[in-house]
Amino acid sequence: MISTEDVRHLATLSRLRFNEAEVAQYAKDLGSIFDYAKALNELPTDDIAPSAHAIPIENVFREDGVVPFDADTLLINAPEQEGHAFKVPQILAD
Amino acid sequence: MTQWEVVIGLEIHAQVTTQSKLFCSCSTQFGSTPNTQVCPVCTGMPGALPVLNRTVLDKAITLGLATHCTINEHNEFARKNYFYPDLPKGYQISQLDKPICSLGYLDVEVDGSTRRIGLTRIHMEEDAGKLVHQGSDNIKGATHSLVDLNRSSVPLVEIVSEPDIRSAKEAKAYMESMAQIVRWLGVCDGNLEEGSLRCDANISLRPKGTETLGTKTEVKNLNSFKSVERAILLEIERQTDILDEGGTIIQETRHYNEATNSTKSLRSKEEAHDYRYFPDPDLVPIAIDRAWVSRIEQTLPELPTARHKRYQTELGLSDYDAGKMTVDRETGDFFEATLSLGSSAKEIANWLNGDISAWLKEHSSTLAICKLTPAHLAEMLKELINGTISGKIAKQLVDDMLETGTHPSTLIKEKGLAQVNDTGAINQMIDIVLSENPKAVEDLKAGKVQTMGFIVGQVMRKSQGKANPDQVNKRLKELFSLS
Ligand SMILES: [Zn+2]
Repeated sequence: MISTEDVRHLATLSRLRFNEAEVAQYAKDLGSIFDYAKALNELPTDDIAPSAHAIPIENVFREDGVVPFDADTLLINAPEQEGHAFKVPQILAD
Repeated sequence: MTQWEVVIGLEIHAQVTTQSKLFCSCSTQFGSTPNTQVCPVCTGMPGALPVLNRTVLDKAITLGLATHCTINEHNEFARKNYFYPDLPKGYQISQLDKPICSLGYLDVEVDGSTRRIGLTRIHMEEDAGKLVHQGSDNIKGATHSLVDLNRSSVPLVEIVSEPDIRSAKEAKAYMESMAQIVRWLGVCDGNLEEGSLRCDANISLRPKGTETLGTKTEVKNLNSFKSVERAILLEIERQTDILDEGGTIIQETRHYNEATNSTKSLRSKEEAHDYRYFPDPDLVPIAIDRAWVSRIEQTLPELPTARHKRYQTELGLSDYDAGKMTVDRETGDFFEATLSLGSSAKEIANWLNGDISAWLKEHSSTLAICKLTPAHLAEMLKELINGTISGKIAKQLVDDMLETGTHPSTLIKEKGLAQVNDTGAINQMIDIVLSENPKAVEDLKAGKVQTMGFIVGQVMRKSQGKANPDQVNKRLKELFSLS
């Protein structure tokens, strides 16, 4: 069960705005996704160590070294830029 | 009136010295044009895959070992989710319940006694980008902001202390000690101006003799040793005033302003932090075996506090000199190298603390980048002890060696700086000086010993500092039967 309160909290954290009808709809939709995932609870996992990754793999590293990237291509997608910086709207208002 | 006990814990963020970032191969060079050291990984482009820089792991283990931490065999990275324009992915990759190091300590000298400050943990994480607010120096007045992601994903270690610190002075001493150690180990360059070392302080008060912790505030933006001490003093005073008047402390974050020496509450309309940490599926777990840890253990250098003690007990240096010779790795290694070439510890310390450090300061240089080598200093000290050169010439020589990197023997030969010990030459100079100063000769004949100093000075001047003053003195005493 996902409550409408949970949905409002998630919406705030995700910077999304929903009307009342949407809040109710998402509570229902997210609730059924949750319930679906709950099927996993039926599996016996008492003897299985908690894991942080889907496949049994560890220690993937790179050596410390610089490989330059054509950074200009990254700014192309910016909605707005100024100088060589990404330009963002006012962050905090009074 | 209630006596309050101060309880402080520090969180230090140290930038790990590497060529490239934590999860991508972009450069970590400071001060470049905005957004020139970025790639799809550190700008959070969809589908980009982070891969851990092994050097960061090695350096975090090094720091953990030097601070007596347990190195955890099993490590994971987690996502700390929040929105801010300096965080392109919408989460910071950090470590939560599986950090690299836990439960260590650092011994700190405060007012001549040793305080043991516990370390809760050291974990690895990535830095955020840099925001430059436009149209105002304050975020709320800004019209818009510019984002530079060169810093994004630069590797950090966060060093979290136990709430073991009991005064602003202790906090400063702890921060200074930690800075010395991370520099000494090469884990961090310790450059406070460039933000390589930053500190936040958690501060609370409780009635003396009680155990329960009071409500704490977190003071941020402590970017110098002086700031750490001053900001904590301010906050202790603020909390004391509130509690003395029967008020209660509000748990909050306060921002320290170095220019005005004041703190301000950072109340934002944000909801209470809800970071929804979870293991980062893009990064695989890390297993650190015993062999790995011992390999690093073997490369661990002698630490500054141990060396400081050794210089006092084995070399007979004063506390002051031993401290100066272990202030950083450069000085320590320079001192050791010169020592190994046979010079006396006290002589080396005197020169490094005196003329050499004055020259370096004046020329904004350091032992690492100047042209003086331990071999040249040792050679110069040998010539000085032998009497080949006078103390005055030695000072001149050191400046030349620092400036040009020329071997002292070459300088002595080329510039004719060798001390004149040749009795004939000295006597000849004395005769000339005496003939030029008949009044002084009269005085000397009359037994006025103080005039001797004047004549010695004149001879030294004539010889451009090269005459051996002992010999000049001896000869004058003979000539005028003075004792
Ligand atoms: Zn990158």
